[in-house]
Amino acid sequence: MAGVNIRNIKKSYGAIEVLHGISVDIEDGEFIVIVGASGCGKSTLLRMVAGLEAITEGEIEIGGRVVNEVEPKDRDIAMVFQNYALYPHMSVYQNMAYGLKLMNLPKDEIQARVDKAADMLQIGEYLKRRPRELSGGQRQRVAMGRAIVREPSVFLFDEPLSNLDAKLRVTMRLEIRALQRRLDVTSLYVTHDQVEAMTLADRLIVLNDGYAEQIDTPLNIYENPASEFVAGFIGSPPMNFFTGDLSTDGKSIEIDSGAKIAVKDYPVGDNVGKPIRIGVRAEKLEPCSRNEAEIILKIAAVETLGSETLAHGFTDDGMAITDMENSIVVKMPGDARPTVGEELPVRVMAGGLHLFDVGTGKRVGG
Amino acid sequence: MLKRVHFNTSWLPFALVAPQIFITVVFFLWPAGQAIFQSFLLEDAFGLSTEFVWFDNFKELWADDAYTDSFSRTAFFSLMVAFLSLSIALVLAGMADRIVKFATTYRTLLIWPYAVAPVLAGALFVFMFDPTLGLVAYALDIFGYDWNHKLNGGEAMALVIMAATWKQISYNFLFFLAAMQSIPKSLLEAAAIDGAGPARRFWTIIFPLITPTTFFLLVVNIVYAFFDTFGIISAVTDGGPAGATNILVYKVYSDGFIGLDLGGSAAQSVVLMAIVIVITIIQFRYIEKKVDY
Ligand SMILES: Nc1ncnc2c1ncn2[C@@H]1O[C@H](COP(=O)(O)OP(=O)(O)O)[C@@H](O)[C@H]1O
Ligand SMILES: [Mg+2]
Repeated sequence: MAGVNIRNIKKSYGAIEVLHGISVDIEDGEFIVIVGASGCGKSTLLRMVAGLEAITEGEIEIGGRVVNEVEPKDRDIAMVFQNYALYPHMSVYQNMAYGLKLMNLPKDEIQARVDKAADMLQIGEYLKRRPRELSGGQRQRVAMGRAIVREPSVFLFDEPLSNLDAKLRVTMRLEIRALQRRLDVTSLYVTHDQVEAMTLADRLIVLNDGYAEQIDTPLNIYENPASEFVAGFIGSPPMNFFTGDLSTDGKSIEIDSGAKIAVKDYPVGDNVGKPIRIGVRAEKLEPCSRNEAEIILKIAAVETLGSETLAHGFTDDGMAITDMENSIVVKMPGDARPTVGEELPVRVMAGGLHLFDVGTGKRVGG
Repeated sequence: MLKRVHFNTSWLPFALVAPQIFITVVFFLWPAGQAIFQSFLLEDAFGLSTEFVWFDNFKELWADDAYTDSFSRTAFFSLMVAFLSLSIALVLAGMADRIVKFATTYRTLLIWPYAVAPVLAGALFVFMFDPTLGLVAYALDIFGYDWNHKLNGGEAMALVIMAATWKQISYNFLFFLAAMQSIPKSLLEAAAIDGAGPARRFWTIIFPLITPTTFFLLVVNIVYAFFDTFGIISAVTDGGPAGATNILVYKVYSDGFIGLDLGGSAAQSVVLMAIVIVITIIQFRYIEKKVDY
């Protein structure tokens, strides 16, 4: 059992810095998810904790001990790789026992640990098989088993579910979470999938281009995203953004199409009279009558998902079909039937407004 | 469904493979047939009369101590060459797989010997080890070792083994390196986390995973040592001294073209042919199938 303290960690490959100073204190037993787009440095950060990548600058502590110069095997960690990295020439049993043999554990202890893990993961009947005789989900379990038998203080996962199909991914996600709760082992989990991140994490680290944009619980991040990047990255469908001008009295924002959005009691600070970015989640835009409307959307596409209906629209009809990534999305009940071409008057629900600085993308007013 | 290409003219495919068939027939099938035919004949030294003697040439071979000696000598030579060139190449590939800086330079340098013709490789070693002029022989002399492969059979054997090995290392190195680089890095990282140091990672992960390549190379190297080393023997020792390096391929030549025992020489080449066929079958049956991870 151990906490992990990451202090101002930087990583450079040659002259290129890919991590620009990440700090986080992870408590014992906490499940931390590192989430971000591909290439933002998630794996690099995880591999530095594992000891597979040299630390350019900063300090990593595991269980109160600085491990910068400690070999991976002596860091008391176990890692699950994206491609599982099972030893193809060894049976499932041998895969799990390999590390234990190297720890010089007695044979019956090894047997006991492997059996216990196999039991927990329900892979007992495959112990004699080779990895290539297993399905993706089974391999994934073996990889977990190999990590568990080491009884480490910290689990490291690098996108362990991304090679599975969507359905299996959901079950494995739940299993990983349940397993981690049961073993109560500090975990760092890397993923680019924000749903996985939201559902697994005690706390999330949202990485963007080597910077930790926000470190907080999933709900806090969802409700108070620290930057436009985080707001757009976390949540599905992604948050809607507009650019507008905050009125001099700070009470409303006029967006490009001429529509006015009420600011209500949102603390706008010293941004009065300046351009500003507005973010509103799809479920915070509610259809309303024409005279209550803040924005009138022209519907360009409708996605009927059964449990909900997503209407994509634009504030003016000049928008091209190919511009769908900039569409404004309104989440409606599953039985709503908006039609393409029709006008949809909407307003921002209470507490639905997020404001961001146009230049820095940082959240305005906490 | 695979799409097939249809030729409207029936002669075109034949015309396209004709050169290859011509070469195979003229340079392989015909001489092979000649050798088999010849191996049943007894010819006098002047080529004036021939007699059909059935398997007498073969019987004579097995009764001839010189031939059976050459057989065991060849076995020793081949195993030594295969073992040494495989082990050295394995070590070099293991190191090349790990280094990052100057990796390409290092690899290029290691590949060069393969481009050297066997006779030139032989000549190189003759120069280096020449008892009177050679640099290495001179160095050995300083350490009090009197090297003379022209008189000492053991030293002659050592020298041809060195030359043959040196030439084969590059080939093995390339295959070993390619095999090692196809092992996913994460396997070795997982092993490192599991507590395996570099040497243990090599022996418990890398080495077992490249087994198919090792088997393949073992066969290739034995075939090479058996059949492809004529140039080296010819350039370095001419089979001497006193037949100490007279391996089977060289003996075919020396008995046939120097000793002028054409029937006996043909019988020897038929035996060699049989060996190649057996090795090829073994390779197809047991080794190619195992390449599966
Ligand atoms: N060995 C390396 N040499 C040079 N650049 C690297 C190396 N490994 C990763 N990078 C770069 O570092 C950045 C972060 O990589 P990575 O941590 O793998 O991203 P992620 O896991 O978030 O997709 C990428 O831009 C990648 O190109
Ligand atoms: Mg990655």
